Amino acid sequence: MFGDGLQVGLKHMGFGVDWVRDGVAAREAIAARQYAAIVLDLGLPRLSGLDFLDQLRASHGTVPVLILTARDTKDDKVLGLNRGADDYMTKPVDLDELCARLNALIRRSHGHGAPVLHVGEIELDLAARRARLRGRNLELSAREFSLLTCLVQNDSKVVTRDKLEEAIYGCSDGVDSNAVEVHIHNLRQKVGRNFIKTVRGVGYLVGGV
Amino acid sequence: MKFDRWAQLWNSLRGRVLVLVMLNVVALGVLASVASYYRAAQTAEELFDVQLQQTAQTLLAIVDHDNDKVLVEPVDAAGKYQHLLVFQVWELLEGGFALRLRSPTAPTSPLPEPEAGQFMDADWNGSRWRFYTDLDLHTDTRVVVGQNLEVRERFVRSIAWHSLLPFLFVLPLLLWLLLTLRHALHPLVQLARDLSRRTPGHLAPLALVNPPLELRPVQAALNGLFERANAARETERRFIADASHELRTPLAALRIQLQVAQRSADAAARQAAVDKSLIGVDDMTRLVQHLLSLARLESQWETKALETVALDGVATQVCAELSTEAAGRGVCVVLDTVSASVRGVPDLLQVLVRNLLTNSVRHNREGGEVHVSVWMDVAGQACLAVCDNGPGVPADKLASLGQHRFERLDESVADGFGIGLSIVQRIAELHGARVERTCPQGTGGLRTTLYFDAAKE
Repeated sequence: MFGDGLQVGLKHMGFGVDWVRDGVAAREAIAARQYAAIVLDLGLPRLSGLDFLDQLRASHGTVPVLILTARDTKDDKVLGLNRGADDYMTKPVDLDELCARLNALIRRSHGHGAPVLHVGEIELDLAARRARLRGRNLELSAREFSLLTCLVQNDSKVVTRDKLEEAIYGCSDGVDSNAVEVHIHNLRQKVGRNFIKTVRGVGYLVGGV
Repeated sequence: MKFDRWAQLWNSLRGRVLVLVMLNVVALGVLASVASYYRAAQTAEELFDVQLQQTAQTLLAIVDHDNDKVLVEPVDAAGKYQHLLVFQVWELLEGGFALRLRSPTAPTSPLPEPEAGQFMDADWNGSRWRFYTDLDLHTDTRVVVGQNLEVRERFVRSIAWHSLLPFLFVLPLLLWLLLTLRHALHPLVQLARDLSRRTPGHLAPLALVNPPLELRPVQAALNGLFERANAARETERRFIADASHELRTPLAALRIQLQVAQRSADAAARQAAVDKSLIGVDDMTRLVQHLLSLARLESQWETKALETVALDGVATQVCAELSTEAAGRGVCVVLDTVSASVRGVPDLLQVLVRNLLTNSVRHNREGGEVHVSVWMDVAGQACLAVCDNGPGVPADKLASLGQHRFERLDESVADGFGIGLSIVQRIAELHGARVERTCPQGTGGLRTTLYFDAAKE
């Protein structure tokens, strides 16, 4: 019930979301894909949330982890953060706040401090989920914004097609094989043809070479 | 009012001891005083008689010694006690007895006199006197000595009264007794003060300083009570913490589904979120019911009288209630009972069986079976077993099942609140029943067996 709501809610906010229901499945999921952030409940069957966290950090996983649990004592929070979590929220949670915190974690994990990213003439306000081109607001869908954010956050680096797909879709979403290309095509029409460059056979990049 | 005060005094330990001791002391004191008084009076009387005799003999001796001296004049014996004594000394001369000596108080006429060597009480000169006569045959002299009985009695009474003086020391003794009692009963007062000062939450053990032997069982009993009350409070506190923890999850789910509904642009997604919210409300309702029944368990147990309950009857009733729901989930309930009675609270036993059965139905697979059986084992215990062929429980989890509240083996099972098993566990504990959980080979499912002491016919 909660996981289902969270998945739908986060998708509405433009995140690609995978929902796994126990610690072992989570371990398998992070091995298979690269995630921008993890929302972790503690009371997981098979492998508890904290044990999962231990294993993740022990294997040098740096992905930001936000613990979202019903355990609300100070000791629980201290323990969770000290075991390697980056943030801690207690249920019930507000979707907007959760998204804001996730965005902040993702922003930090890319080494950015400012909530507004600038690349060329594009200005990306992560908090407001708003993109501007030469001071003019761009009308972007949630997926297009996420795609652009992913490219901008990896400024001057090539982002593979797979990674872009992961950024906007969960693995359970039935994705058309050319979905990313379609979104890129739409984006180019809005932000300008040359802003997003294609690196043949590898992926896409913004800024830089 | 006056009676009340006496009743109050009698109800107080100190009052009771005091009254009993006082009554005894006073009764003994009175008896001893009376005896002492009469004994003293008697002795004093004897002493005075001896004195009378000696006076007579002394007088005779004096007269014999001063043979040549004849005194008819009174002997000057003025003094405080001259009214006590009177005497005359008569000597046989020719022609009769002549008065030879007399006390100033004595007349010249003869005093009343008894036989020689005898005492005699007689009225003389307006009051009672005791006379004694002695005779000296050698000198033919006769002595009559009299003592004023009134004066003499006054002395006797005075002496006898003085013999009672020691009994006055009893009075300060009683005061002392009162103080000692107060001191001895001080630990009781201290205990009462300690207890009266306590707030409802203050359940620390009593620490009486050096308690007397008689109070030690009281202290031990009270401390035991405090300990139990403390444990009950701790259970309650943990229950509240657990319950609030457990309520957060469905609340969080509700909130997030409603937020999704709020934001969903398309009607189908909104409808799906609203439907899920409704399911969430149902989940929460069930959880709250469970929480309430768990909270009510203890009070029900305390207020309801134990009855002889037919375990097979309870099982049959619950199976009938739940068979429709089970059928809806494609689960078949099989009932197999013999007559078995236990001592317990019927409502609670129903809750127990219902929870077990519900759990087995919910965790069963489609087309599965739940076996409910009641039998008497060889040890004479009434047994109830509920057995399903669902996925079962991992062996390492089996032992701790039902021990922790709100344990859910599989978080994805939306409506399986672990609290149901806690309720089973607690009701079993209250009934003194042993719970055994196994995952028998073959069936694959969970088998829960309860062993009750059978009710004596």
